[in-house]
Amino acid sequence: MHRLLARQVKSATSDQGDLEIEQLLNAVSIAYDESDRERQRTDRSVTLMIEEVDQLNAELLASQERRFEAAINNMAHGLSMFDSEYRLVVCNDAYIRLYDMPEALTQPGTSFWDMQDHGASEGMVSNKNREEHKRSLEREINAGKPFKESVSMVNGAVIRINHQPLADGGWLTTHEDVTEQHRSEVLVRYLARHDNLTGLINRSTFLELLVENEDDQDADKITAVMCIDLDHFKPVNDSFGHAVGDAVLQKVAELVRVQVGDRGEVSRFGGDEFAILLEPLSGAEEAAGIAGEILAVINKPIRTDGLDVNISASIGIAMVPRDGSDSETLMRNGDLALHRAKSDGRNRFCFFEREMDELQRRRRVIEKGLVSALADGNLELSFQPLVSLKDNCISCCEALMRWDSPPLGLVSPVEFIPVAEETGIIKQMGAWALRTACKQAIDWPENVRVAVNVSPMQFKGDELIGQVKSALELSGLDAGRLELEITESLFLDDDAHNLEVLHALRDLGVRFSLDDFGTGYSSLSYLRMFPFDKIKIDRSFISNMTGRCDTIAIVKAIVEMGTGLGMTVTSEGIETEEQLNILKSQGCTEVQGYLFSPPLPQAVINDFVSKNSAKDALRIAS
Amino acid sequence: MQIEKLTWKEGSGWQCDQGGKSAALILYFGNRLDMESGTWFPELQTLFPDAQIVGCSSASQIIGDEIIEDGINGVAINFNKTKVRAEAVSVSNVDQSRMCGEELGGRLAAPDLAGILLFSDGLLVNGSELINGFSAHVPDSVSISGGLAADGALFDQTLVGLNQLPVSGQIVAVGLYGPDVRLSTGSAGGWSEFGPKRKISRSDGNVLFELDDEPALDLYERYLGEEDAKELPSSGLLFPLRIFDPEQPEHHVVRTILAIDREARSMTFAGDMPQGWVAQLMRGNVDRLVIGAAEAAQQVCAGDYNQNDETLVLMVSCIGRRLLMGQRTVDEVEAVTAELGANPAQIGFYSYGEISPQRVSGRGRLHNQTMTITAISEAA
Repeated sequence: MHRLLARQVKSATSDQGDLEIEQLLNAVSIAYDESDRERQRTDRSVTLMIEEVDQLNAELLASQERRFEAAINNMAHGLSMFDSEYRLVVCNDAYIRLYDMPEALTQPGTSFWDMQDHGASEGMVSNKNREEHKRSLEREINAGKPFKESVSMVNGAVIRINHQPLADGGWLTTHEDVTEQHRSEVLVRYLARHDNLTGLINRSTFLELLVENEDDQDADKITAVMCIDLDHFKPVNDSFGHAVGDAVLQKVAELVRVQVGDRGEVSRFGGDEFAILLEPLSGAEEAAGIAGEILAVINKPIRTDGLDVNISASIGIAMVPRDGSDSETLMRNGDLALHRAKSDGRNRFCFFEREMDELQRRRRVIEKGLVSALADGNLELSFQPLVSLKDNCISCCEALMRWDSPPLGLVSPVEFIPVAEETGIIKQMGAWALRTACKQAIDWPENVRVAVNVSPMQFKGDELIGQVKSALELSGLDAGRLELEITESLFLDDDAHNLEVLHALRDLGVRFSLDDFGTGYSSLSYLRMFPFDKIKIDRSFISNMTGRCDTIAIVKAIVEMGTGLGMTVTSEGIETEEQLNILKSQGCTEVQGYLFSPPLPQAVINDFVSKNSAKDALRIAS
Repeated sequence: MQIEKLTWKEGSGWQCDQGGKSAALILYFGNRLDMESGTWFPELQTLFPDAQIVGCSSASQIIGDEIIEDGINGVAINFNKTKVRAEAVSVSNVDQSRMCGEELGGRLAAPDLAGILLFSDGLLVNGSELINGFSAHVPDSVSISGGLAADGALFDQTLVGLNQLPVSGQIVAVGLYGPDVRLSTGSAGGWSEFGPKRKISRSDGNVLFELDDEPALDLYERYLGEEDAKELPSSGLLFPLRIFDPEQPEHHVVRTILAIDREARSMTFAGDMPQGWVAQLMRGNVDRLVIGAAEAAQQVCAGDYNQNDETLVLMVSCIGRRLLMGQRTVDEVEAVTAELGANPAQIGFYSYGEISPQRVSGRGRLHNQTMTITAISEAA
């Protein structure tokens, strides 16, 4: 019997043992009622609990969804998620803004391809290769691996897309607007390859082009490399300032670029140097034509900042494949040609010739050789006498450098002096020449001076004054017996400083002669700048005199002018009696040339001078 | 110690099963309506003139392994060596609860105080605060056991008495002194929490207004259904609340409804309902509650417990358990007896709150919805 029923029976049994049926039934009924009520209570509470939990879950889910939405819409990057059926699950506000998606296309379930087509149809994304892109994209997505791609919008924006597959077959993409970063990268790449001032490609980019051109070469293709250097650009900067100088460079760059057009690629090498790769060409004639055009446009006054700046250029041209095929050879040969253009007078173009290379090689040998010559004492002086037509005797001897180079043999000063000036070794050579000449002259009679050529390079810096003093002191030669010969080129640069040095040397008692008179642009004006003791008429006048009344008239004028200014006028290059007679008739007082003596070596000159320095020692026909 | 069972019935008077020997302490529990007046008390006093006579009204009474609804039942205890002193204070509103505890504790405090039996008004007192008041003078090592008087399912008024007819608004504490008294306690529920956790969004002391910003009374009426809702507050005992501090979720307490206010939509509980704490409904079924009672008895057995006839087992169970288990309520008493043995004298009542030491700290605590057992004996 159930325990409860047993108790109920016991409760319903009287003390006499009589079972009260009604009481029992009542107790049983109450028990059933209690059981029913408990069951109903349980049922209701469970039902209510489930409802509440469901509601809480729904609220929690809604809250989570709100938080999720807030989070993704707060992202700076665009975000989109698609399921394995290519249907949109969610996208955020940034994504919608990036692609200007209409609301209809941002609802969950929207097809991925519909959204892609929107971008294309709205013209936001380039339609180029659209179908191919779609196929490629589908392949990538279906591969189930992460990948990245960049999309260029027609408005210039660049979007970097990061694609991440999900475990359920869908995928998540983030979209980052990297336009600024892209622009910066493009700018950095541009700056790395272009000249900042002119916008032309720079040196390294140009050299890369040459290498590419090398790979492209074939027997029938003719190209050319032009090396351009502006003439006398430094004075523009010095006179007008760097701002004007830069503006001039920009204008020149633009002029050249426009003139060349699509015939070639122009670059700025730096400073006032440019280079052009011309291709393809019909031949050297076409290259020459283009070079002429370039010179012409540069020659026109360049207006900038209210100024008209006149400038010219020199161009060296190396033809491909004639003058080389690799970039190094072409640049070297173009440069040699440019060098020739400069030395030929500037404002011109010049093609590379084989000999330039040889000249350049010889030049390098001379350069090295001079250093050794100075160190090893291989330099010598020769002395050419100057003859006084008044006294008929030697009045002066001009010291001339001589160099017997072991590999080259005798090298003319006309060749090695310019090299010495370019390398700067002329200073040491000039100092040696001063010392040697003064030391030689001390043994001559007092009426015989010694003349030493001084290069404008020797005036740079302050060493010259000390060198002259030292030479005079060491030799004991009187300063008045030393003549320094200078040319007009001294006054082209830095004339204020140079004049200071001249005056300082003059204060020592040294004499000065203006050499090669008549060959420069402003010969007369230089006579006003400094009180020269002598002017030396250039040999070109002397050699040209015979039968030329105009030349004779010029010589006469120079002699009269010089005499009038109290200067000695010396004529160089006298080789014939006829020349001598003309000069004498024009009043020239001093002459120099092979007619009297060639330059004589140090071992011989002293004897020659001693025999011919006394008055009337030389019999000169009147 | 010697224990004699006492039973009073209308018309029969007091029946003492050992003929009315002398006693130091009488404990009695009975139906409030039977207690309010009559000659039963003077007769009891005449029978035991030297005893401290302590008792309270109840929902149902436990005597032996039976549950009795009517009459008054009790025990007369004669201790061998343990001294007894009882004190009473009056209380008129719940705010005086802590002060009453301090007063009683102060009166009973002594170096040899070993334990306290505490019986309090069940409707005018915050049980938690009452017990906390004792700590001002009584160390945690002194066990406090007892319960809040009840009024069946009427929740009208409860009666407590010390050496006089029990009255409303009374709190009685009995001190047990000396080194020989042995006390072993146990307390367990068997209720299970269910459904969502809710925040106590508005409350004031032991009055609960809102859970998750919804009137708590609305929630109860929904869960009880129309029929049971009419019987609030008693039907509310079927769904006690488990509450805890969200900062310490592992420490929770169970709270029992004492009263409702349909206008204010509030519910008064037997202990504090701190605002901001988390509450969760609980529900029970007979089998789990019976298992709970057995667990409480097992806790007693694990303590300093003598399973002989000189041991008194005081069972204070919750009226909520009585209402839920109905005719099967006696199953839990039988489960306790099965654990503790048939020899000890068992007495108890169904209360509005149970008091016994907390298991870990030993501090006295108000429990709700539990079977709380205190076994009292003396050392041999």
